[in-house]
Amino acid sequence: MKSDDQTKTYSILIADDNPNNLKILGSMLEKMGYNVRVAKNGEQAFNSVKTLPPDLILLDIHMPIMDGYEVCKAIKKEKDIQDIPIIFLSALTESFNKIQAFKAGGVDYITKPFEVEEVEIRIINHIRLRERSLKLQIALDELKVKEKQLIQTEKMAALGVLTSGLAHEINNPINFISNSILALKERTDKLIDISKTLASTDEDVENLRKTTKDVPEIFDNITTGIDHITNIVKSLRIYSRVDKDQLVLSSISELIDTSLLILYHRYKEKILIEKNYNSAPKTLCHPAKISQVFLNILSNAIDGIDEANLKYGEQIDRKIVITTSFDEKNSTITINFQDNGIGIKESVKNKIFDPFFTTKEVNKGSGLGLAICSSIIKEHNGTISVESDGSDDKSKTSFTVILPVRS
Amino acid sequence: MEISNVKVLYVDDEFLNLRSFELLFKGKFKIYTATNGFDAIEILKKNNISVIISDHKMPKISGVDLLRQVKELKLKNILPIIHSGFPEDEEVQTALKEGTAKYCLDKPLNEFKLIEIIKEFAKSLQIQT
Repeated sequence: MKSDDQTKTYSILIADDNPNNLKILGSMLEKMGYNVRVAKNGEQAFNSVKTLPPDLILLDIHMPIMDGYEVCKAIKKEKDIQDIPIIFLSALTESFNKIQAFKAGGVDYITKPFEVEEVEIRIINHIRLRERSLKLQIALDELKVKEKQLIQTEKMAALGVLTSGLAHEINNPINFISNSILALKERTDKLIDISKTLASTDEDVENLRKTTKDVPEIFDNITTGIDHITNIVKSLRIYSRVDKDQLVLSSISELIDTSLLILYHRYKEKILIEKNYNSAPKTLCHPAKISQVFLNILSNAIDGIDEANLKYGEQIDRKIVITTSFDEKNSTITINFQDNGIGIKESVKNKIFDPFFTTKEVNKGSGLGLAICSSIIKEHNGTISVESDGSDDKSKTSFTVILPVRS
Repeated sequence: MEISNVKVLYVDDEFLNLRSFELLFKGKFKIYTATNGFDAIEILKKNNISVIISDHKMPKISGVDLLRQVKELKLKNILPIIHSGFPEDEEVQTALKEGTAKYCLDKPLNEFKLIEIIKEFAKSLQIQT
């Protein structure tokens, strides 16, 4: 049987301890166009399914080592193969056996001796059903990602309204504080000069020195504080435009710094951030979205380091290295984030960009973070990839984002 | 022209911004202030103002709208500057492109940058006169 698109040949595994049954059923199904594999006992059947999952399983009940019920139950316990439809094929005709088979997870039950046509129709039905449910599942997953993305966009838009209002409200007081400090500094300097000319005794001079010696530092501290607030407000500005679906000419390193600023409270005393920014041109992008990607990667890196600290004890040399570079020939910017936290297991590396895949505890991660990152980077015609040298203390994990420069 | 003789009009709806501006630049150039666009236009008509610095986000008349009105007054030798915490604001960017504003000064104000701009402008006035 061919699939709807007429290109795929379906594979069926037949498990039966009777070689005659295998032969007859096998050649019959091959004639119909299926790829047929056989297993002579339950254990062989289970291992064969695990190694190379077929599209459907025809399972006898009475078999040595593992009987059909056991095989079926074992398959249903394995995440990767539990959805393969299993049709029981047995000479047992009692309701009791049928109920057992369905309870074990079978989708159908055919009694021997069987009508060839009946077997074929049942096989086709179950393969179609499986295929449709797979398609539905994919559609549902996509829908969930879209929904989450939509919620995220809404959140960002709300954040945008909030931050632009907030930034404006904060800018004014910073402005007059900043002006006033400068004015105050000028007058203080003058006052000190005048006092110097008025100081007549050594005691006066000494008093004046003591009183004024900390003044420059005090002014410096205030100015530093103003600069910090100014930088925070400035970096929040990128969120003020998310509601407008518009590309903005942005500096990638500034967007990384914004993400770092937001995460500052999570890494400050415990993780070293090493920045190797190489000069790169500004590029047209959705700044809030790109910053969200960096935020996500950095937040995962911090999680990985936290986890490593928890598992192997705190280490002072935990760090995140951020490197940016510009490839003039291809006109791309490469952004690399490397951490030495818990690492990523080889077995899950290929799944981390899949929607709903997470290794985090329930309620700690939706499994959508990197899926959304991946779709944002795709939207920008870029690529995102991951490398990790395994999962132990100080495994290196490295995420690389490559963005084409647009201006 | 000496910079201390340059007449600068500063427009902002926040009184403390005006007051701190005055206290910082008193003696450095001649300062006029207005809390809204209407008052600003009146001051411009009566005084020979050389530089107008206006906040953008103001109720009633925005800074960019005010500078457009100033342009319509066709005053000679006036330097229009927009003052905004959001230099990337679309309206501000358009104003800069069409020349309604010659500069955009970020908030908080950079004292030295402003003095530099005014000095430069005073020099160009001298050449013209």
